[in-house]
Amino acid sequence: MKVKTQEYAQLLYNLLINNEDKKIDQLFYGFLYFVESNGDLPKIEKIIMVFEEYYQKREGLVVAEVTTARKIDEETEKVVRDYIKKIKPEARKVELKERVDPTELGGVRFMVDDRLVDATIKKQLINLKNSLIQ
Amino acid sequence: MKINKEEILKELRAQLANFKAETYEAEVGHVVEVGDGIVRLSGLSQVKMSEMIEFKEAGQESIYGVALNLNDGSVGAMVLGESSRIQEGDLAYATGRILEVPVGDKLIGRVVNPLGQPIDGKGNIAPDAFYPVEKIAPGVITRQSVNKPIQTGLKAIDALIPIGRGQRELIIGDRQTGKTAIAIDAIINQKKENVICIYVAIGQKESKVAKIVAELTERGAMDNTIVVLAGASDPAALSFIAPYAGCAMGEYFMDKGKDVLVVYDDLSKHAWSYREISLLLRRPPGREAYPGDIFYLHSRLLERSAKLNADYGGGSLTALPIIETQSGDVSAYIPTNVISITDGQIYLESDLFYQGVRPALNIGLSVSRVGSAAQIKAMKQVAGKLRIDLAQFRELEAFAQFSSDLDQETKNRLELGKRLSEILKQGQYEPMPVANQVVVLYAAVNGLVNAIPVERIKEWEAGFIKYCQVNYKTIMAEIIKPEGLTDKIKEALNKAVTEFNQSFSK
Repeated sequence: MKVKTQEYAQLLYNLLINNEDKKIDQLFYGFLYFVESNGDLPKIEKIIMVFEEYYQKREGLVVAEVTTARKIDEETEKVVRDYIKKIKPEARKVELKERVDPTELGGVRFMVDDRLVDATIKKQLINLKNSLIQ
Repeated sequence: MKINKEEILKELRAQLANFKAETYEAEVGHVVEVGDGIVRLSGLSQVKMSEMIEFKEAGQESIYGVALNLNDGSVGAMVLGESSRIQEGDLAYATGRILEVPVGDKLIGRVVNPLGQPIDGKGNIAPDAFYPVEKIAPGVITRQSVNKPIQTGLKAIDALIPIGRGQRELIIGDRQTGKTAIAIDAIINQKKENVICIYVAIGQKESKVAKIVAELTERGAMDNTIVVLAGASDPAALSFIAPYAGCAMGEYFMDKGKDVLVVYDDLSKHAWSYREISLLLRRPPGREAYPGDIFYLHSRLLERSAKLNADYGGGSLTALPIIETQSGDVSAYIPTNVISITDGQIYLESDLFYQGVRPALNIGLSVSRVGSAAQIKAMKQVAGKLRIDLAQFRELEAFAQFSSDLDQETKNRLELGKRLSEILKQGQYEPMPVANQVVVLYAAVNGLVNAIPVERIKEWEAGFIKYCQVNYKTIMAEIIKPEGLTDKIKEALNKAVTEFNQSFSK
């Protein structure tokens, strides 16, 4: 039987969600065995990727990568979270992956899916430079 | 001079006051794979077909790409520029704009690349507007049938295969048969005709284009010409968009009610570059490894040439696409496609070229499907007889090779045919005004030159035109009027030939 990557991902999601923690290990092995017996083990990386996407969509989880010059403070975090909820109304949970990069000088930059929002001082300075050159 | 500190500060303050700190938001993707002028991107889920994608690098000019394949989870794009500067993992920004080129009067007299950037070292061009590279052709409501000729200045073409404004006439032939020469002669002749010319060089050697530009400049034809160059060393993506870009530049003038002539030199190389891009994008190959939409590639381009009606400004865009055949094979894939799209073809043969018939037109195989409606009346009157005489000559010529004993009638026809063929020969860069063409052809088809030896026909032709211009100035001016060759003009011309022949034979 030919099983699509998307179907594997859905199967895995249903296995993991509807069962207790104790049984998950066993179920996961079973899942792997099923994939292997179908000869689709080389596709496992892709399956995991699609599963992650599917999982985020079903759970309303949005992952954003936030870059700041110093460790992010609570106020900024709240602003970022509110903004993400505004552009992604379907988001029920927002997960922030934080990165610190001193070269940004200040401000915040974050990426949600394929949307980039840049409010760093570095970016503003580049814009200023370009506008002065013209 | 003392620099005033205060003034500089004031200037700076004014500039800084205008600057607003804004949050930058964009749709981005990541480069997954790059090579051979093609990139594969992840992300960019909202990107549109043929939208421009920007690859930015700090401190360097950005490189642009065009989205061509929108797959599930990935985007395939071609790079318009050096793809070697793009690296795996780079950010790619969606611009929200579809591919467009600068257009306007300032482009005239310049050599630009397919993105409209100057490459002739004469400084920047301030565009009047931007036109999309890919555009849907004018519809039925906006069009009008072809009614005005575009004079190429070549006797053989203007008399036998006339081209109208808004027509698409294919120039087809092997390499080295003078295809480009015909197009360049046509461009040179537009100097006085008030037609804007665009020469699109696709995958051409830069040396050849440099030679053409030098020739056009010398003859003053660059004053109404734009050269769009995608060189042989440029990436295939530039060759692919070059004809569309040239067409967009022409459409700007057409929309202004002007007449435009666009030469696409040549569409075989255009098809190759599109094949290259398609194969790299992993689109399935078809016949001769061309992709399935190769016909649409050329039909959508050539359909954009049009004659607009008066309600839409009355402008026109005439296309002269060029196709290079391999050893005379016109039944190959691309030649048959383009033949079926265009309104006729000018067929050049290497055999004729080596026999000294230049332009090496094969009159039997060349046709113009709509142009004859646009010919001026005087030309129609002489061309009708010319066509029949030449057809009879071709038939008799083959027949006469077998027998030496011919009757007088046949001999006369052969002699006339030889002179007509001689008259239709014409040197390169020697376009001839239509009135001159008419007087020469009138004399020839009416057998008034039968007494002149074939070897001296060229000499006779030059002399006769000069003679008419000096002694029959008013008649020459009247020929191009809508009445055509009236009895009065015919009489005057007969007289002129008799007079000139007397002095010529001495």
